[in-house]
Amino acid sequence: MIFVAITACPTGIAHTYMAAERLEKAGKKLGLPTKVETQGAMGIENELTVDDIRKADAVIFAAGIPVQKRERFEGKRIFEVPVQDAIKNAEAILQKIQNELGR
Amino acid sequence: MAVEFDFLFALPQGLHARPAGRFQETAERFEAEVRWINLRTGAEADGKSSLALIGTDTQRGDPCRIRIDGPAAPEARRALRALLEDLPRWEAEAAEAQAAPSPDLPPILALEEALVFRGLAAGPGIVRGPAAVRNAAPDLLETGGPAKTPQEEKADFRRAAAALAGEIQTALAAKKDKTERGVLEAHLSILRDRAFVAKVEDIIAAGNTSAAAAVGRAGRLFSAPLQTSRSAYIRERIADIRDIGGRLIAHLGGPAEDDIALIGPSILIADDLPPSRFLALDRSRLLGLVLENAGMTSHTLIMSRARGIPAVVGCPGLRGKLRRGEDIILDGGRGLVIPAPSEAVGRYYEREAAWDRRRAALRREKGRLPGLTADGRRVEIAANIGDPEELASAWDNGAEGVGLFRTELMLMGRPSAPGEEEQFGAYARLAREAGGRPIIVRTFDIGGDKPLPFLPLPVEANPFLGCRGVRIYEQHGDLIRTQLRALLRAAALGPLKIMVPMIATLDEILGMKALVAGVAGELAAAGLPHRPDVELGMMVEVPSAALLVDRFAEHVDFFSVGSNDLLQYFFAADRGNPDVRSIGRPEHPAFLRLLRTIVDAAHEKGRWVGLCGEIASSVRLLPLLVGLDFDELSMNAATVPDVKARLRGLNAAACRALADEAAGLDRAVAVEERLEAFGREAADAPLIVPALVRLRSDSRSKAEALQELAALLEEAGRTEDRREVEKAFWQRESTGSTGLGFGVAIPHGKTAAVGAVCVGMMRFAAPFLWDSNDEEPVDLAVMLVIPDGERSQEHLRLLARLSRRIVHDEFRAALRAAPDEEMVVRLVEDALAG
Repeated sequence: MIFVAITACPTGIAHTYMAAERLEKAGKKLGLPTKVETQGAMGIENELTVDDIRKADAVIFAAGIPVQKRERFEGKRIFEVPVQDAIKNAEAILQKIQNELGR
Repeated sequence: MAVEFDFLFALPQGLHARPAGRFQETAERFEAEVRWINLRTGAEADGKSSLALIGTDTQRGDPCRIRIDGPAAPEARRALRALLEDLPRWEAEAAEAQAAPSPDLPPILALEEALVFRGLAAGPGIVRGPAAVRNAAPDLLETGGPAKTPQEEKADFRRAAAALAGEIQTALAAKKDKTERGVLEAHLSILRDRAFVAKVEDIIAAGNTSAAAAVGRAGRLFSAPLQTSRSAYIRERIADIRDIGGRLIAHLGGPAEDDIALIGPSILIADDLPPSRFLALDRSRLLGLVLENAGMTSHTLIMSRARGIPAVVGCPGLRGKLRRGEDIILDGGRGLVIPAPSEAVGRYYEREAAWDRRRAALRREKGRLPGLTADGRRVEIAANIGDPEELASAWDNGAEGVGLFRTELMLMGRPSAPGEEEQFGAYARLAREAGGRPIIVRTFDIGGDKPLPFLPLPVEANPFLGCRGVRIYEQHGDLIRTQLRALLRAAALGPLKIMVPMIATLDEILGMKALVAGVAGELAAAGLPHRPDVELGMMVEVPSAALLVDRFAEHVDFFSVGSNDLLQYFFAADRGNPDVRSIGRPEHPAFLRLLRTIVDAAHEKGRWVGLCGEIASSVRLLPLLVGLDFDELSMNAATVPDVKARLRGLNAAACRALADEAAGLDRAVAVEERLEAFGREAADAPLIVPALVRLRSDSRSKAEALQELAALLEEAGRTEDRREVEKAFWQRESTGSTGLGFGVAIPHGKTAAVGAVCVGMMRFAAPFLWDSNDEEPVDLAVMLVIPDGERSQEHLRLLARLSRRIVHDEFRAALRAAPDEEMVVRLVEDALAG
């Protein structure tokens, strides 16, 4: 099971990176490859490539604001979670999605 | 026949005056008794009395019952039901018409639902004390004179009520504004309220009570239930009852204008205050000042600012809304008046005031340093005063001289002009207490806005363009000769200089020089010690003089720009007229060019130039004034430390370039933008220092924590405006809480009020819930603040790195365990280093 995620927040200096850190850590711990693109004050970093997105089983948006370049994810299964939740419960989120997709 | 129906009340603001008035109007159309019963509170009211209806304290969601009894009950039921269903729609419109609360209000006020009156900030500072309401609506607690017969008192009451209703209707006819009309209509409905009228008449009928006293008592009876309402909006309606009651009492011959004398330390609330009345006040008792109708540069406010008295201008109608002696907080910096503050609001302001005091002490310390730019250019920072009493405070604030001593204030509030000896006493005191610092005494500047009882001046259609300043000296030769004699004598004792106001033509200054020479001759003949060669300067406040400075320079020793008048004469825009005041903006390129002409012409001839108008005290405009090459700036003593601190951070060469550029722009707004950009030039400061760490904060709530974090930045010298920083924190909070869980919050924000990226940390002695729906209390806050328009990718990358680190358990544990500030700084620096 492969995840890609986007994190963002209104000021783009704190929550974006906290959520990214937690999701990456959680993926590593659970053995679920998770690549996280941050859309913060520095703009888009660690940008998801077409290939990344194509390979992903699930897309997570943890953003308090609209996600940029959303059209890249057309046809993908997108899970939107509050950015706060991604910080607090990153592992639970990954597990829940995994269960929901039945794998 | 009796009918009833139940419903849930739907208006968000509760049952207040407007819907109650509508309900009453509808009920009155029917021959039936209508009762409103609030099933939550059990309160019951006459449906034909809006005051009684408001008194049920009906809130959104309260179950209510309407009981109708009488021949027209079925029709009344239909109409009232329809009205109640219609109300929310009607009110939604009214709610929109109200202005949105400004983000400048401290959020604590909204959280506490405090009643706040907003005006203009007219003198910074926070004070709390009893309101001394001058010429207020007479207090309803007061009783009237002895009663006549009940019939006569009743007739008096009806006459007064009819007269007042007539007044309100006249006002209503002239009003277009929907909100204002709504208020007047609500007042009218109180005045005609049948329960209110019946109560007053009952009290009168009971005997031995005057109509005025009966109005007072009835007003109190109807206010009492509102006092305890949960809704601020409804509590505020007490003010309306008080307003109407007070006006009725005035109509019944009650007290109209009270004495202005302050009995104890108080906050004076008045319509306007002439300078002489201000001077007559016992200022040791004057904590603060609220003037409903005064111009920001009226002399009373200029004086009150010089004395550091917190002041607010505006708040129309405030006097009618406060009780005498009511406990109020005056927030002069934000222009707020807060009556009967709650405990949390009181605590917030106590802390604000404490930080203001600490900040002031720091400022004063820095104020003692000489007035120099960072690159060593000298600008003398002086004080404007109007009384020798103010010298001590001027020196205390770090003034390096007096750039303007306003002698005309000695003339005010007295029946006759002071004689030579009295004036000599005052000037001699200046000379003696100068401690070698220069003191510029301006000869009497009278006329215009400063009429005097003992000086017959013609009534003019346009006093600001009429007989003022030097122009009256010829007709009043004795007055000016006496002053010059006293000045020349005092100048022998210390470094006094003389300055002449309102010079427009060369002949005026030549006349003045002749006068000085004549007076010196008299003194010599009389064998009185004096200084014949006292330095003589002139105000530059008339455009004609501004453009002829090169010629004037051959006859005077120095110049001082009176920017207040120069601005209004230059732009032909009365500074006291709010409709045109904004035309004459000091940062306008045209004005900057005029100032440059003045300074350059004076320097060309080896004369120095100062500036003594209000703009001298503007920290914002300071880079322009430095860039224009002024030699001296003279301002309210209270602003000396701020201006000096800013001056010492400026680079004169950069200011010069800024002024050159600004003078070449088209409009004031363009200059304003350029100034802002100039101010943003960030000092390169480390992201975190020990001063940005507080290991034991006593903040008890998010509101207090954000307040304290902003204050921490200010104390650390990272911002000049902690309130802006606090606002930025709240702006961020409003888009979603920064409470993270794990007992941590990361308040952050973006604001122009900081010059560089800042990281700070605070630990709370008594952890509290960051937001009411949080699960665990917060004991640790890490703050991040970045300047508006921060583009440094490096700084942002550091913050991102720190944010990633904060979600690591070990990092938070280390922050919590750090024994001192240095350790926290080291931990954060390590995290930033990656």
